[in-house]
Amino acid sequence: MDLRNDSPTRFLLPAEAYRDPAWLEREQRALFDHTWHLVAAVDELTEPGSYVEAAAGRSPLIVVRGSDGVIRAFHNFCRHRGMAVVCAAGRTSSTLRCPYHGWEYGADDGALVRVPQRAGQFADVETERWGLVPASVGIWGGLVFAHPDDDAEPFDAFLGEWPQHIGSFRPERLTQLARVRIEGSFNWKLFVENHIDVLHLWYLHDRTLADFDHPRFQHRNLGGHWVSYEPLKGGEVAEAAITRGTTPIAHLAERDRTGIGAHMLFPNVLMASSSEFWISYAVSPLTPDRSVIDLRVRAEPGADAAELVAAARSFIDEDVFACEQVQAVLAAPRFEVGPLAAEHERPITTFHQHLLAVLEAGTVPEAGAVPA
Amino acid sequence: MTAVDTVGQAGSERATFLLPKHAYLDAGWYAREQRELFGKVWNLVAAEIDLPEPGDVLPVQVGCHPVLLVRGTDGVIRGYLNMCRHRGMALACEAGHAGANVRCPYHGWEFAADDGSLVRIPQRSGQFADTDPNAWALLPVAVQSWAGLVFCNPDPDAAPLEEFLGELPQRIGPFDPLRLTQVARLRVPLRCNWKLYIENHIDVLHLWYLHADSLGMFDHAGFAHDWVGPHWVSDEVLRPGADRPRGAMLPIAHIPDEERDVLRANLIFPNVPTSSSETMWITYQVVPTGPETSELDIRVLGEPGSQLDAESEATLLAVLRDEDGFAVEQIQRVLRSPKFAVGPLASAHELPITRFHRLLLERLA
Ligand code: FES
Ligand code: FES
Ligand SMILES: [Fe+2]
Ligand SMILES: [Fe+2]
Repeated sequence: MDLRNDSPTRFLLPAEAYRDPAWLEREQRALFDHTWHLVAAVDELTEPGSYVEAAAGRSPLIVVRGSDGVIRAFHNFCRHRGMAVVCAAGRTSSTLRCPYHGWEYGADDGALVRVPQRAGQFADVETERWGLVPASVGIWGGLVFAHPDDDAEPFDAFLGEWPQHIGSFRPERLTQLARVRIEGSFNWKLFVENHIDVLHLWYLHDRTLADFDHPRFQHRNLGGHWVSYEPLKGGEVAEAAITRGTTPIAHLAERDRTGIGAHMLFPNVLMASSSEFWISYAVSPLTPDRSVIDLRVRAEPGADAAELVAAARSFIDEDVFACEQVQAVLAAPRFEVGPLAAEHERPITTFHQHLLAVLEAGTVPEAGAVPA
Repeated sequence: MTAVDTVGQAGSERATFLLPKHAYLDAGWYAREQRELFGKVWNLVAAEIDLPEPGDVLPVQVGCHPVLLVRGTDGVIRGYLNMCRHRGMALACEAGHAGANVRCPYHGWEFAADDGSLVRIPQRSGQFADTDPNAWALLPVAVQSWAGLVFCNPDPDAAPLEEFLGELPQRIGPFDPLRLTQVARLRVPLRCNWKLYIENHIDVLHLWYLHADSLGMFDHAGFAHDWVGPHWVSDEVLRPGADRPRGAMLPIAHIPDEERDVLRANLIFPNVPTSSSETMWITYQVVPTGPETSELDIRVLGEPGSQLDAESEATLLAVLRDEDGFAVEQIQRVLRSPKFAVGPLASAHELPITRFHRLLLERLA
């Protein structure tokens, strides 16, 4: 089941990739400006007219459920002078109004529907030209994704066959019970690399993930995306260390009731699953050495949210700690990465290959196209 | 000021946003402004009360130039480049009292507060036998005061401050700031380029919307504004029958009654908004601290004996920080979006932004 690849595992990125503002600028331009971002959950947009603000890389977005129930996204800047049209979550009955000079936009189509003092001050302005700039939206598993371009690569093509490899999980049948923002002093890629590093499970998580049978860890890349599964030790249905809630997910098959999963959608949407939760935690750069993790916890409606957040954080906090330590060392002039594990760190090499391909081409490759 | 007279007149010019996006983001543009604009204009650097005693010193940064303000034994405030003529050490790193001579902490050279002359070199006969002290006085920079405010222009060819201010002192209303006292100084960090805050200050249109509640009692339709050389003045009055939160500050005694319902907002070019009401006269300099950051340095002046009460402070910060500051911080964030570009401007109510941009571009050319 492991990715078959006979080339040696290697750490392909230079130290600059983790600390240089110019490198981050390249990533923003070539990658984040033109890829799918996890920006919301359908649970955050329950009513027609409800909206949230979000960000897709450098692009601030408004994600809004229209009066027709459809979720859409627009760039969150007023076409007049650029004020953010919405600054928090809310609900509108008709239009989105910019607080700066009162321009109003239709919540269903972004059209500019009102310019105060138009006759006196904006006589020549053709309102049709100044609607909100649309972005693209895709929905999977109760999660809302957005792409800054309105002519984006189709969302289904981006997902590829990844949704067929996550076992019996149907996250859309669960409810979002918690959302937590975690900031840390590390480059976003360190957190991704840590997530797809199989080797550290034995050591960094020796207590938090002790009940799982790491030698039987299975994983594979699907293009830049990644899926994995590992069973409980002995495969018994026992209370595992990280499933401390009280409400197992009802729809799971046996395999998923007795194991955990960790997944990734390239480049920065991380996910993990247990018998009681499905968590997503997108990691986004703030600066070269600072990132933010946007953790969302989905579970059965009656589950204990605080316990599930604590369970997720038991290992996420360990990961954050490790990434911060590595980031601190990256500044040292004599630091260099040593040899990688032949198989357990192969996903890092694959991640680097995909990232470098994007940065070199300036575009995102088709899902499944691993560069030679 | 002939340079300014070439700027288009209101009514004939099209309101356009002339500066490119990188003017608000780019370190290179920021450095050029520091050099060509702030290095060659009269900068507000202090208030006279910041150096109350003869012999007091205050280090300030003026564009790229470190400047030491010194109040001489004669009571006059002067400016010198804050670099010792020996090896360049800063003569003072914080406000303090030096007395008649300013002494460099590195190797003890001493300079006269009143004229910057080098008056003492320790171990002179043994170590600096050939050194002519007359050749190594502190380098002076132009410093002048107006209305209790201290300005500095690092340009050696600077025209006098009176010429730079021109008619402005007569156009700020019936206020004499010298008859007021500073009742508070507040500093507010802003995550935006300084120009965004200034553009907001001279944008008439936003009064109706962003300040719908906080300034809704004023008659914006009667808002009058004008350019005075590179500076800008404006006033508007309370709507008939309307009132506004007046706080507990003492009314300013020396202004006539008809001034009591007037709200004035002015700009001392390039970065010092001022405003006045019945109880206070304030300056709120937007100090650039980086391409994407600045600091609002607010000085509130009031009638002697007055105090900035909690209500007055809250009313002030609601407008300057929570509304204006909030809006321009949002715009700064949006500027990084690859898809953003400024749209059409209001033909009259945003025209001051166009003129402000022209004034900047002339100086950066
Ligand atoms: S910036 Fe939105 S109305 Fe002016
Ligand atoms: S640098 Fe000032 S005395 Fe040497
Ligand atoms: Fe981990
Ligand atoms: Fe304002």
